[in-house]
Amino acid sequence: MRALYRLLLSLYPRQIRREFGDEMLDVFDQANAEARQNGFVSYLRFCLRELAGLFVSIVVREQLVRHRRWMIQGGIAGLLLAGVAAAAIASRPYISTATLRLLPQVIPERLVAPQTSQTPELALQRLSEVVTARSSLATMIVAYGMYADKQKVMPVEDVIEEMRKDIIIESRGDRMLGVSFRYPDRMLAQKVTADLVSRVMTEYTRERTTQSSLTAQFMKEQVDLAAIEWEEAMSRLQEAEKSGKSTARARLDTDIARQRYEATSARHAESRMTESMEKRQQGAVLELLDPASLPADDHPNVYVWVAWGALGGSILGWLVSTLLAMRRSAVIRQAEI
Amino acid sequence: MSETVFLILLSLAETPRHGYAILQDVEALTEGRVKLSTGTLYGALRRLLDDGSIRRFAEADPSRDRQAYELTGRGRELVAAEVHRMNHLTATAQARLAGREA
Repeated sequence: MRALYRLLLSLYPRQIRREFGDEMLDVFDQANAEARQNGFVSYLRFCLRELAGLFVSIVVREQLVRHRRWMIQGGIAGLLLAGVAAAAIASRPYISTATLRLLPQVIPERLVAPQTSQTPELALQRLSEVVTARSSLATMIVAYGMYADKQKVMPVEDVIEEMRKDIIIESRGDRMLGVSFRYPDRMLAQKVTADLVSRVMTEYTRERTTQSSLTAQFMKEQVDLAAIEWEEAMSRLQEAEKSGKSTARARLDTDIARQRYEATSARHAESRMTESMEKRQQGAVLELLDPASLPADDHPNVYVWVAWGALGGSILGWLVSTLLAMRRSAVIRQAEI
Repeated sequence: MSETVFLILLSLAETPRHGYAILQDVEALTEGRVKLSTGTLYGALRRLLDDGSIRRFAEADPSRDRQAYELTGRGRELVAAEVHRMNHLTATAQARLAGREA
């Protein structure tokens, strides 16, 4: 308590401190000793009374604001400047990045041909569109509780658009894919990037599996059609043979239908193999090369900056007030001379 | 004149006193109702010194390092004027109360 009292005393203007400081401390010591003897409640009341009395005396009666004007102004200015600077730096988003690599299919392409009609660029664009689709982003915004401030001032559609701008899915050279997300919270930036990567990989696998299944299904239908056509051609040939008519045309049609059936069957077999390969994930797959990075915590602690700013500003203000006081003294001495 | 200033002047009216003695005397004068803090006391003492209502009292025993204060003529006049004002106010109040009761 005495130390705190001394600290508050030091806030008095120097002249008053010099004139009454020791005396006040002496009286405080005596009153303090007496209050201690009267029990805890009495001592607590005494402490509160002394602190409040000293505070009111310093701030109101001694016009602390006037005496320490430069120090207070400097402190407030430093505090504001540091606060604004720290807040500006702290509002910079963190960027989390992950890298994916496209692995070639396990079974050689000469044995099982991949069935994709999309160029890598188109495939990437499609992946990006699916992953950043409205429903997908809306789910993530709700799940991670993101963009709370923006949600208060703009419609959901605009918030989703904002998030879309923060997502980057790009090709990085041969068979490499980068996924990045930027957000003011570094932990969330990492979590969302990991989520996006998971969605990209799932979507890529799903896309290839679906495509191969659809191709196999289509080829099966073609085989069935070719089989029907072949059977019909054979029926026409048998009828021609029974009726004794010329069978040359019917025989040619039968041969063509058979060849078509055989060719379609071969393609169907290939598509079934591809489908099987994709279902076993032995086709081209995306492999996670670098998982979502946790951005370094390089943002400043606003409170520390504000404290340093206030301290720096106060010191600067004190220097200014000291220089002004010295200048005033010099002017007075000169006037006296 | 505030009550605090009046009480401090009243305390010094009897005899010169140093800071702690003034605190105790004010508390005794008001039967414990008013307990001054050192900040309040010295704020008031400084203003009273500035306006010449009190002055530093030169102790007979210089080995005692506690500074005592005594009332000046102006201070005494101020106390007297305040007491007069309070007496007048008290008399007026009593007269009004008596008139209401009658």
